[in-house]
This record gives sequence, structure tokens and C-alpha cells, in this order.
Amino acid sequence: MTARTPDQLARERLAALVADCLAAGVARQALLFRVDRLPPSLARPHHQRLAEAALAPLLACARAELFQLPGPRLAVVWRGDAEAALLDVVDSLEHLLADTPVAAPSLRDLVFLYDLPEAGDLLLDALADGGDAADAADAPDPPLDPASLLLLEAALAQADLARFARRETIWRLGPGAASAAWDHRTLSLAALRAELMPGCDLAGDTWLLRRLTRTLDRRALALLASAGELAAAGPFVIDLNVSSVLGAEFLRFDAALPACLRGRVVLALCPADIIADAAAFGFATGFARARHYRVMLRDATPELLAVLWTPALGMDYLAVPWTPALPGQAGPVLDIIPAESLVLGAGEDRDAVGWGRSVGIQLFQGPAADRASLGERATAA
Amino acid sequence: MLPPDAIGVEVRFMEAVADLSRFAQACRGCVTPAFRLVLDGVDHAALSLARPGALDPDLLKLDWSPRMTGLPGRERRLLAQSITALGPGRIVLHRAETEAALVWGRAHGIERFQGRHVDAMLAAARLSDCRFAGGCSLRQCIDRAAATGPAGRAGCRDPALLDAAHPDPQPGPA
Repeated sequence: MTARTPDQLARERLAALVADCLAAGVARQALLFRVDRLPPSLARPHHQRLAEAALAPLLACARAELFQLPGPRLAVVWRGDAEAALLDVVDSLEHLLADTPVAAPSLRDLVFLYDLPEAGDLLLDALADGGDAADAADAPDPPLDPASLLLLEAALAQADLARFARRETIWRLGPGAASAAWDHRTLSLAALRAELMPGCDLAGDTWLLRRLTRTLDRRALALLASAGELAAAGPFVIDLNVSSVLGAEFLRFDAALPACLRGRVVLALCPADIIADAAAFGFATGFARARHYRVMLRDATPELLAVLWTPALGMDYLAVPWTPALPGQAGPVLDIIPAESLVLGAGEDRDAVGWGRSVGIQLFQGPAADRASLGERATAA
Repeated sequence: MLPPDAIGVEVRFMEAVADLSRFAQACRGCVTPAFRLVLDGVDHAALSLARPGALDPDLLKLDWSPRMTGLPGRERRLLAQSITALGPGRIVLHRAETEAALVWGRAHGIERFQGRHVDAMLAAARLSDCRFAGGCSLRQCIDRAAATGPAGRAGCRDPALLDAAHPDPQPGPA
């Protein structure tokens, strides 16, 4: 017999409590929070903690008990009036939902209240439905598998990748006038997926994603090295795998790089790729520096920076994605990394730019930074 | 019900770093006392750049390399700092195939080893104690101790001595 996990045991205890209420006609209230319906941007560990903390006011009610259910979902059962506590809970949850650059689901789709014993059957149905297995409509896309990757690589060999090429400006919003620091040149995985592999989670398997991005690196470098491509280019950032820096395509790209761009190109590396082959990372960054490239760490969240020892990495820049929780988490990061080395991916949130500037960050990327630079340049004009 | 520490769940360090949210989710599914989180796929270069203690593993398997005895000053210093930060008591020196690996590990406070050299040492000790040792080679004794089923132990006339090399299947007294 398979041992049950703590969340499965919690579900059984809650179901037994509801059944007792039904049998004895005891009045209770219950709240169910579908944490599993939060978008991935709200699925980080600290969001889970915030979700639990948001329900804390209810735990002060009589006979209150918290249940951590499969899914994950959270439930609180209590006795008596809890209107004030519920208002506090709603406030906290709305604050949590504001912590995402994408459209957050409505609270009506996340939080459900039940009066026991009348609505006991509904709560039992909700407990039986989902949690162990996601609803079909909510089922995630299947991860990339080896056979699909081979098909995708065959399709890429025939495809004109120029149509997946994107660039986004990284702005310097310093004490002076706003200026463009670099173009961030990427091949859009989202566009590529939509066209060539819809319904497939390209990032679902870390190892296959690395192979795919290495293939894309080779094509991107070949594209950049093609005649005339960089003739009128300004400074830019390019996402690369560590092994791509050591490949033949990079040498060709390096040979084609105009002299005016030497020292003004930044290679942005993926954290997992560094850990996967740290010795190659050391060799690649040494080579890159010898050829006057700068090096950037991508996706440098505070959680990641707790795991990677940044002083040992020797990065020139760290690209930090914004979340509204960042101001509360960034202290240790700012203690060891100069703010001038940080590139804040501000997304759509104008608060990101305001906070970043308040702590000395000067480099920003994303629509909010585009708007801020537009405003500053319009004022200057 | 599984006894405490019954199963070590090994997760590649790189995979954990690739998706810290998913890693945290996976850890939440392994919070019973029976499971122990083991980070593996960690070589000395990766450990020098990392503070894996932030992921709160029970153990970390550090891959042995002969290069570790002759690292340049900065690399040696970074590795020593990372080992100290994690605590050598949480490190298993993996692929410890030589005596040099054991010597290096002991010098760094490591007390857990996995690899053929340890297997050979244990087999040599068994052979010196076994009254049927005359019919067995060292290689046979190593292979039989590594077997997970009776078929792989065929030929051993003192299987209890082989079992002594493995953890007690029953939980210890409370």
C-alpha cells in the first residue's frame, strides 16, 4: 500500500470534519483557496508562504484549523462570525494577485466560501474534484520529448529564423537623460513554439531545452555573422549557452564583429547552464573576456542568488526580473552586488522603475522602462 | 510505513537551479521523515560557484576528480569555502575510486564516500573474516555485495557477511 502524503492526510481529515458537521448538524464555515490556479509567476515558494499568511486572520477565529491540501490548495474551517477577518483575507489576497506581470485570475475563481453543514456536500465535491489530477482544461502542456525535439530541429533546419528574431531596448535611466544602453537580441521561443510546436512546453524538460537552445544559438550566431547584419548595429546583449561561446559559430561571429562593437557586446548566460558545466563556464567566460565581451547572468532572482555565489561567478551584469516582492527581498542582493551591475526586467509595472531608481539601479528593460524613457526623452525635447 | 531516512531522493543540482519553483514544489511532496533530499551531479567547479545549502539538502554528492588535489589557489579557496558553508557532514564524496579520493575527503572533513575503492576495502575486510574466502576473488565479493537480488549473490556461502555492508533494513530502536 502506498503511504499517503501529508496533504492527502489533510484532505482526509477535512473530509471527515465536514462529514461530522453534516451528521451532527454542527455549524461551521469553510474557505477553500485554489492555490493551484495561480499563474506560474505567482507559484514561487514565497508566494506559497504569502498565500498561507493571507489566511492567517481566519486562524484567530474560534475552532479554526488550516488544511494544506493536494493541488496545492488551502482550506480553513472555523466557527462563528468572521466578517472582519474575511475582509483582511481578501485584502491580502488582492495584494498577492497584484504581484504578477500577467493578468491574474479573479478572486472569484480562486476563493470559495462554504456554510456548513448546508454546503457540506459542495465542499466534499470540491475536495474530491482535482488536487491529485488537474482538471483537463487546466492541464499543462506536455513537455518537449526527444521525438518532438527531433521533429522541431528538422523544421528549424528549413525555417527562416529571422522571423523569430526579436530585439528589445535596455535603457539607461541614470541621473542624465535616458539613453539606450543595448538592444537585447533574442530568438522568440514563444513565437517559435506557436508556429512550429503548438501545445508543447518547450521548457518542460531542462536537458532537452538546453539542446534546443544550443541549436538556436548556432542559428542566431550565424544570422548575426551574415554579411551586413551588424554593419549598422549598436551595442547589444545576446542570450547564449555556455557551450555556444566555445563553438565554431561563435568564432565566425567574433570574426565578423565590427571593430566599433568590440567591447560593447554582452553575452547573457543561463544559470542552469553554468551549473551543468561549471568548468566550461570558467573557460568560456575567460575566452569571452579575452575577446572583450561582457558577461551577464540571466534570471537572477533573489532565490537564485541565494544558491549561486555571485562573487565567484565574476559577472559584469545580473538581469533581475521584477516582482512586487522584490523590494522586500533585494537587500542581500544589493549588499553584495553594486546596483550599477543590475539590469531590472521591469515588465509592465511602473513601480519597478521607481523602486529600481530609488536603490541606484540604472539599467531597465521592458514596456515600463520603454514608457519611462519615452517620457524622459519627450520632456528633454 | 517506511522508517525514517529510508529513501534518499536524488535530484540533479542543475535541474533544481533550472526551475527553483518546481524544485520547491517537488520538495514539498517529500516532506515525510522517510525521505531525504540528496543533490547530485555536483562537481567541484559547480560547488565552488554555488551555495547549495540554500536549497536545504540533507546530503550533497560531490563528484570526485583527481584534479581536486591540484587546484590553483583561487579555485581551491572557493571550493573550501563552499564545503565549509554547506558543512562537510552533508557531503558524500561520489566516485571515490582511489585512495587519493579518500585522503582528500578526510582532509576536508568528509566522512561519507561512494565508489569502487570503498567497495574494494570493504570486500577485502570481508574476505579476511570469511571462512569460505578461499573460493572467491576480490572482484566476485565486490560484485556480489553490490547485487540487489539473490541471483547476483549466487556463489556466496556467507550472505550475512555481504549484508553487513548495507544499512539495516529494520528501523533502529527508539
